[in-house]
Amino acid sequence: MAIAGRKALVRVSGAPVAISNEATTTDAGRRIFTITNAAYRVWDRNAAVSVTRSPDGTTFTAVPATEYTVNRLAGTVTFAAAQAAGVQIRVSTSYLPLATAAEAKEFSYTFTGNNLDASTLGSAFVLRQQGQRDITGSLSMWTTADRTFEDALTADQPVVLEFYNDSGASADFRVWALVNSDEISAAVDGLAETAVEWEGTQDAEGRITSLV
Amino acid sequence: MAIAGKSMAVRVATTAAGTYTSVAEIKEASMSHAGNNQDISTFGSAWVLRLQGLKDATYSLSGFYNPTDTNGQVAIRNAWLNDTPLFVQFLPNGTNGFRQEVRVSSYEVSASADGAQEVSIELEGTGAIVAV
Repeated sequence: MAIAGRKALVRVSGAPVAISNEATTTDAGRRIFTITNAAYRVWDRNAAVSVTRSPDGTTFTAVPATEYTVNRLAGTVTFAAAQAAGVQIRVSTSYLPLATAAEAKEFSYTFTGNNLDASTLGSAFVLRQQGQRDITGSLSMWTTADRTFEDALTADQPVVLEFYNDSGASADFRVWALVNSDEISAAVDGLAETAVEWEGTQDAEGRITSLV
Repeated sequence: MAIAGKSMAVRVATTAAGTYTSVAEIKEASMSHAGNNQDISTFGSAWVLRLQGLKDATYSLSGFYNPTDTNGQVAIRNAWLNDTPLFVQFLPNGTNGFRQEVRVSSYEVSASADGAQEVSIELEGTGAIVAV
Protein backbone atom coordinates (compact mmCIF):
# COMPACT_ATOMS: atom_id res chain seq x y z
CA MET A 1 0.00 0.00 0.00
CA ALA A 2 1.45 3.31 -1.00
CA ILE A 3 2.26 5.77 1.76
CA ALA A 4 1.09 9.36 1.50
CA GLY A 5 3.93 11.82 1.35
CA ARG A 6 2.25 13.98 3.98
CA LYS A 7 2.91 11.26 6.56
CA ALA A 8 6.67 11.60 6.21
CA LEU A 9 8.81 13.46 8.68
CA VAL A 10 12.34 14.81 8.69
CA ARG A 11 14.09 15.76 11.90
CA VAL A 12 17.34 17.68 12.16
CA SER A 13 19.87 17.90 14.96
CA GLY A 14 20.56 20.92 17.14
CA ALA A 15 23.42 21.99 19.39
CA PRO A 16 25.10 19.32 21.54
CA VAL A 17 24.13 18.84 25.16
CA ALA A 18 26.38 17.05 27.65
CA ILE A 19 25.10 13.94 29.39
CA SER A 20 26.78 12.02 32.17
CA ASN A 21 26.49 8.45 33.40
CA GLU A 22 23.39 7.67 31.37
CA ALA A 23 21.95 4.20 31.80
CA THR A 24 21.83 1.74 28.91
CA THR A 25 19.69 -1.26 28.02
CA THR A 26 21.26 -4.44 26.73
CA ASP A 27 20.17 -6.72 23.93
CA ALA A 28 19.51 -10.40 24.55
CA GLY A 29 23.11 -11.31 23.73
CA ARG A 30 24.48 -8.74 26.24
CA ARG A 31 26.81 -7.29 23.62
CA ILE A 32 24.89 -4.25 22.34
CA PHE A 33 23.95 -1.66 24.94
CA THR A 34 21.60 1.14 23.84
CA ILE A 35 21.26 4.32 25.83
CA THR A 36 17.92 3.98 27.58
CA ASN A 37 16.62 7.50 27.11
CA ALA A 38 15.45 7.61 23.48
CA ALA A 39 16.04 11.36 23.30
CA TYR A 40 19.78 10.81 23.83
CA ARG A 41 20.46 8.36 21.01
CA VAL A 42 22.31 10.66 18.63
CA TRP A 43 25.77 11.57 19.87
CA ASP A 44 27.91 14.52 18.87
CA ARG A 45 30.52 13.44 16.34
CA ASN A 46 33.16 15.62 18.03
CA ALA A 47 32.49 14.56 21.61
CA ALA A 48 34.46 11.95 23.53
CA VAL A 49 32.46 8.91 24.60
CA SER A 50 33.22 7.51 28.03
CA VAL A 51 31.88 4.08 29.00
CA THR A 52 31.78 2.74 32.54
CA ARG A 53 30.80 -0.72 33.74
CA SER A 54 29.58 -2.25 36.96
CA PRO A 55 29.00 -5.92 37.71
CA ASP A 56 26.23 -5.11 40.15
CA GLY A 57 25.20 -1.50 39.61
CA THR A 58 27.12 -0.30 42.64
CA THR A 59 30.65 0.56 41.62
CA PHE A 60 31.37 1.70 38.06
CA THR A 61 34.82 1.63 36.48
CA ALA A 62 36.00 2.89 33.09
CA VAL A 63 35.97 0.38 30.22
CA PRO A 64 38.98 0.42 27.87
CA ALA A 65 37.97 1.64 24.41
CA THR A 66 39.55 -1.45 22.91
CA GLU A 67 36.68 -3.53 24.27
CA TYR A 68 33.89 -1.84 22.35
CA THR A 69 32.79 0.26 19.39
CA VAL A 70 30.19 3.00 19.42
CA ASN A 71 27.44 3.93 16.98
CA ARG A 72 26.82 7.64 17.42
CA LEU A 73 23.77 7.57 15.16
CA ALA A 74 22.01 4.90 17.20
CA GLY A 75 23.33 5.59 20.68
CA THR A 76 24.82 2.14 21.13
CA VAL A 77 27.94 0.60 22.58
CA THR A 78 28.82 -2.78 21.08
CA PHE A 79 31.21 -5.01 22.96
CA ALA A 80 33.44 -7.53 21.24
CA ALA A 81 32.55 -10.06 23.91
CA ALA A 82 29.27 -10.70 25.65
CA GLN A 83 29.06 -9.13 29.11
CA ALA A 84 28.23 -11.14 32.19
CA ALA A 85 24.63 -11.30 33.29
CA GLY A 86 23.71 -8.37 35.49
CA VAL A 87 26.44 -6.09 34.17
CA GLN A 88 25.36 -2.46 33.87
CA ILE A 89 26.86 -0.02 31.39
CA ARG A 90 26.73 3.76 31.56
CA VAL A 91 27.71 6.34 28.98
CA SER A 92 28.93 9.92 29.23
CA THR A 93 29.14 12.06 26.10
CA SER A 94 27.14 14.81 24.37
CA TYR A 95 23.93 14.13 22.53
CA LEU A 96 22.30 16.05 19.70
CA PRO A 97 18.63 16.85 20.23
CA LEU A 98 16.47 16.26 17.16
CA ALA A 99 13.66 18.56 16.12
CA THR A 100 11.27 18.58 13.17
CA ALA A 101 12.73 20.35 10.15
CA ALA A 102 10.65 23.49 10.08
CA GLU A 103 8.07 23.76 7.30
CA ALA A 104 9.56 20.88 5.29
CA LYS A 105 7.38 19.84 2.37
CA GLU A 106 9.46 17.61 0.14
CA PHE A 107 12.56 15.46 0.34
CA SER A 108 14.50 12.86 -1.53
CA TYR A 109 17.58 10.84 -0.74
CA THR A 110 19.65 8.47 -2.82
CA PHE A 111 21.88 5.63 -1.75
CA THR A 112 24.50 5.03 -4.40
CA GLY A 113 27.07 2.31 -4.94
CA ASN A 114 29.96 3.04 -7.26
CA ASN A 115 30.08 -0.37 -8.87
CA LEU A 116 33.49 -1.07 -10.33
CA ASP A 117 34.11 -3.08 -13.47
CA ALA A 118 36.00 -6.21 -12.42
CA SER A 119 35.81 -8.00 -15.76
CA THR A 120 38.88 -9.95 -16.78
CA LEU A 121 40.18 -11.60 -19.90
CA GLY A 122 37.84 -14.46 -20.63
CA SER A 123 34.78 -12.71 -19.20
CA ALA A 124 31.71 -12.91 -21.42
CA PHE A 125 29.65 -10.67 -19.14
CA VAL A 126 30.60 -7.60 -17.18
CA LEU A 127 31.66 -8.44 -13.61
CA ARG A 128 31.23 -5.84 -10.91
CA GLN A 129 32.34 -5.16 -7.36
CA GLN A 130 30.96 -2.50 -5.14
CA GLY A 131 33.29 0.45 -4.64
CA GLN A 132 32.44 3.45 -2.50
CA ARG A 133 28.96 3.90 -1.13
CA ASP A 134 27.46 7.35 -0.83
CA ILE A 135 24.27 9.08 0.25
CA THR A 136 23.00 12.37 -1.09
CA GLY A 137 19.69 14.12 -0.79
CA SER A 138 17.62 17.25 -0.87
CA LEU A 139 15.07 18.90 1.35
CA SER A 140 12.58 21.61 0.40
CA MET A 141 10.90 23.85 2.92
CA TRP A 142 8.85 26.96 3.11
CA THR A 143 11.29 29.60 4.28
CA THR A 144 11.18 30.45 7.97
CA ALA A 145 13.40 32.28 10.42
CA ASP A 146 15.09 28.98 11.26
CA ARG A 147 18.78 29.08 10.25
CA THR A 148 19.81 25.54 11.09
CA PHE A 149 21.05 24.64 7.62
CA GLU A 150 22.64 28.00 6.85
CA ASP A 151 24.48 27.85 10.17
CA ALA A 152 25.66 24.30 9.49
CA LEU A 153 26.99 25.29 6.07
CA THR A 154 28.73 28.37 7.46
CA ALA A 155 30.31 26.40 10.30
CA ASP A 156 31.31 23.53 7.99
CA GLN A 157 29.68 21.12 10.39
CA PRO A 158 27.31 18.31 9.40
CA VAL A 159 23.89 17.90 10.88
CA VAL A 160 22.11 14.66 11.59
CA LEU A 161 19.00 14.09 9.53
CA GLU A 162 16.45 11.52 10.64
CA PHE A 163 13.93 10.31 8.07
CA TYR A 164 10.52 8.80 8.74
CA ASN A 165 8.24 7.46 6.04
CA ASP A 166 5.50 7.56 8.67
CA SER A 167 5.81 10.03 11.51
CA GLY A 168 3.69 7.71 13.66
CA ALA A 169 6.15 4.84 13.32
CA SER A 170 9.86 4.31 13.81
CA ALA A 171 12.45 6.29 11.88
CA ASP A 172 13.90 4.76 8.72
CA PHE A 173 17.47 5.90 9.15
CA ARG A 174 19.78 8.66 10.31
CA VAL A 175 22.62 10.19 8.36
CA TRP A 176 25.45 12.66 8.89
CA ALA A 177 24.56 15.29 6.31
CA LEU A 178 27.01 17.93 5.15
CA VAL A 179 25.10 20.82 3.58
CA ASN A 180 26.53 21.78 0.22
CA SER A 181 23.89 24.25 -0.88
CA ASP A 182 21.12 26.24 0.71
CA GLU A 183 19.02 28.28 -1.67
CA ILE A 184 16.30 30.72 -0.69
CA SER A 185 14.03 31.89 -3.45
CA ALA A 186 10.95 34.05 -3.68
CA ALA A 187 8.63 35.29 -6.39
CA VAL A 188 6.07 38.02 -6.19
CA ASP A 189 3.21 35.57 -6.63
CA GLY A 190 4.40 32.78 -4.34
CA LEU A 191 5.80 31.82 -0.98
CA ALA A 192 9.47 32.07 -0.18
CA GLU A 193 11.10 28.66 -0.39
CA THR A 194 14.32 27.10 0.84
CA ALA A 195 16.02 24.23 -0.98
CA VAL A 196 18.83 22.37 0.75
CA GLU A 197 21.17 19.91 -0.93
CA TRP A 198 23.24 17.64 1.29
CA GLU A 199 25.82 14.88 1.07
CA GLY A 200 26.70 12.17 3.55
CA THR A 201 29.87 12.42 5.60
CA GLN A 202 31.61 10.22 8.15
CA ASP A 203 31.88 10.42 11.91
CA ALA A 204 34.92 9.44 13.98
CA GLU A 205 34.07 5.77 13.58
CA GLY A 206 33.72 6.01 9.78
CA ARG A 207 29.95 5.71 9.83
CA ILE A 208 27.76 7.76 7.50
CA THR A 209 24.37 6.28 8.20
CA SER A 210 22.59 3.99 10.57
CA LEU A 211 19.32 2.23 10.00
CA VAL A 212 17.06 2.82 12.97
CA MET B 1 0.60 -12.24 -28.15
CA ALA B 2 1.45 -9.09 -26.28
CA ILE B 3 2.08 -9.33 -22.56
CA ALA B 4 0.23 -6.95 -20.30
CA GLY B 5 2.50 -4.83 -18.17
CA LYS B 6 0.61 -5.89 -15.08
CA SER B 7 1.95 -9.43 -15.53
CA MET B 8 5.50 -8.31 -14.85
CA ALA B 9 7.24 -9.66 -11.76
CA VAL B 10 10.59 -8.57 -10.39
CA ARG B 11 11.89 -10.84 -7.67
CA VAL B 12 15.03 -10.77 -5.59
CA ALA B 13 16.95 -13.22 -3.42
CA THR B 14 20.20 -13.19 -1.50
CA THR B 15 21.46 -16.46 -3.01
CA ALA B 16 21.19 -17.69 -6.58
CA ALA B 17 19.27 -20.79 -5.59
CA GLY B 18 17.39 -19.15 -2.74
CA THR B 19 13.80 -18.13 -2.43
CA TYR B 20 12.95 -15.24 -4.74
CA THR B 21 10.46 -12.73 -3.40
CA SER B 22 8.57 -10.20 -5.49
CA VAL B 23 9.60 -6.63 -4.84
CA ALA B 24 6.46 -5.00 -3.50
CA GLU B 25 4.69 -1.96 -4.93
CA ILE B 26 6.76 -1.66 -8.10
CA LYS B 27 4.83 -0.15 -10.99
CA GLU B 28 7.48 0.30 -13.63
CA ALA B 29 10.40 -1.95 -14.45
CA SER B 30 12.89 -2.27 -17.24
CA MET B 31 15.84 -4.47 -18.08
CA SER B 32 18.38 -3.47 -20.67
CA HIS B 33 20.72 -5.97 -22.30
CA ALA B 34 23.84 -4.40 -23.74
CA GLY B 35 26.42 -5.86 -26.07
CA ASN B 36 28.99 -3.08 -25.75
CA ASN B 37 29.73 -3.41 -29.45
CA GLN B 38 33.15 -2.24 -30.57
CA ASP B 39 33.69 -0.44 -33.85
CA ILE B 40 36.31 -2.40 -35.75
CA SER B 41 35.97 -0.58 -39.04
CA THR B 42 39.19 -0.07 -40.89
CA PHE B 43 40.38 1.80 -43.93
CA GLY B 44 38.49 0.40 -46.83
CA SER B 45 35.38 -0.44 -44.83
CA ALA B 46 32.32 0.81 -46.64
CA TRP B 47 30.11 -0.25 -43.74
CA VAL B 48 30.67 -0.08 -40.04
CA LEU B 49 32.03 -3.34 -38.74
CA ARG B 50 31.37 -4.32 -35.18
CA LEU B 51 32.52 -6.86 -32.65
CA GLN B 52 30.57 -7.65 -29.56
CA GLY B 53 32.39 -6.74 -26.35
CA LEU B 54 31.30 -7.62 -22.84
CA LYS B 55 27.63 -8.41 -22.47
CA ASP B 56 25.93 -6.49 -19.73
CA ALA B 57 22.52 -5.80 -18.21
CA THR B 58 21.04 -3.06 -16.11
CA TYR B 59 17.69 -2.93 -14.36
CA SER B 60 15.49 -0.03 -13.37
CA LEU B 61 12.59 -0.33 -10.93
CA SER B 62 10.25 2.33 -9.67
CA GLY B 63 7.13 2.38 -7.58
CA PHE B 64 5.85 3.23 -4.17
CA TYR B 65 8.20 3.13 -1.21
CA ASN B 66 7.48 0.31 1.23
CA PRO B 67 9.88 0.07 4.18
CA THR B 68 8.09 -3.06 5.44
CA ASP B 69 8.87 -5.08 2.31
CA THR B 70 11.57 -7.01 4.15
CA ASN B 71 12.54 -9.45 1.42
CA GLY B 72 12.06 -6.99 -1.44
CA GLN B 73 12.79 -3.28 -1.13
CA VAL B 74 14.54 -3.68 2.23
CA ALA B 75 16.64 -6.59 0.95
CA ILE B 76 17.82 -4.43 -1.93
CA ARG B 77 18.72 -1.59 0.41
CA ASN B 78 20.57 -3.97 2.71
CA ALA B 79 22.53 -5.44 -0.19
CA TRP B 80 23.70 -1.91 -0.96
CA LEU B 81 24.47 -1.06 2.66
CA ASN B 82 26.30 -4.29 3.49
CA ASP B 83 27.81 -5.03 0.07
CA THR B 84 26.22 -8.46 0.14
CA PRO B 85 25.06 -10.58 -2.82
CA LEU B 86 21.74 -9.89 -4.48
CA PHE B 87 20.08 -11.80 -7.29
CA VAL B 88 17.22 -10.58 -9.42
CA GLN B 89 14.63 -12.37 -11.53
CA PHE B 90 13.06 -10.25 -14.24
CA LEU B 91 9.91 -12.02 -15.43
CA PRO B 92 7.79 -10.16 -18.02
CA ASN B 93 4.96 -12.69 -17.90
CA GLY B 94 5.42 -13.40 -14.22
CA THR B 95 6.95 -16.82 -14.87
CA ASN B 96 9.65 -16.72 -17.52
CA GLY B 97 12.43 -14.28 -18.08
CA PHE B 98 15.97 -13.76 -16.81
CA ARG B 99 18.02 -14.12 -13.66
CA GLN B 100 21.29 -12.44 -12.77
CA GLU B 101 23.43 -11.43 -9.84
CA VAL B 102 23.39 -7.65 -9.45
CA ARG B 103 24.94 -4.77 -7.58
CA VAL B 104 22.82 -1.85 -6.42
CA SER B 105 23.97 1.35 -8.06
CA SER B 106 21.20 3.66 -6.86
CA TYR B 107 18.32 3.53 -4.38
CA GLU B 108 16.33 6.75 -4.23
CA VAL B 109 13.38 7.57 -1.99
CA SER B 110 11.34 10.72 -2.43
CA ALA B 111 8.33 12.23 -0.73
CA SER B 112 6.31 15.36 -1.08
CA ALA B 113 3.42 16.60 0.99
CA ASP B 114 1.02 16.41 -1.93
CA GLY B 115 1.95 13.00 -3.30
CA ALA B 116 2.81 9.40 -2.46
CA GLN B 117 6.25 8.31 -1.32
CA GLU B 118 8.18 6.78 -4.18
CA VAL B 119 11.23 4.61 -4.66
CA SER B 120 13.51 4.35 -7.68
CA ILE B 121 16.12 1.61 -7.89
CA GLU B 122 18.94 1.01 -10.36
CA LEU B 123 20.72 -2.35 -10.49
CA GLU B 124 23.77 -3.37 -12.49
CA GLY B 125 24.42 -6.96 -13.44
CA THR B 126 27.57 -8.85 -12.58
CA GLY B 127 28.23 -12.09 -14.41
CA ALA B 128 26.11 -14.21 -16.64
CA ILE B 129 22.44 -13.72 -17.39
CA VAL B 130 20.48 -16.95 -17.03
CA ALA B 131 17.17 -17.62 -18.74
CA VAL B 132 14.46 -18.81 -16.39
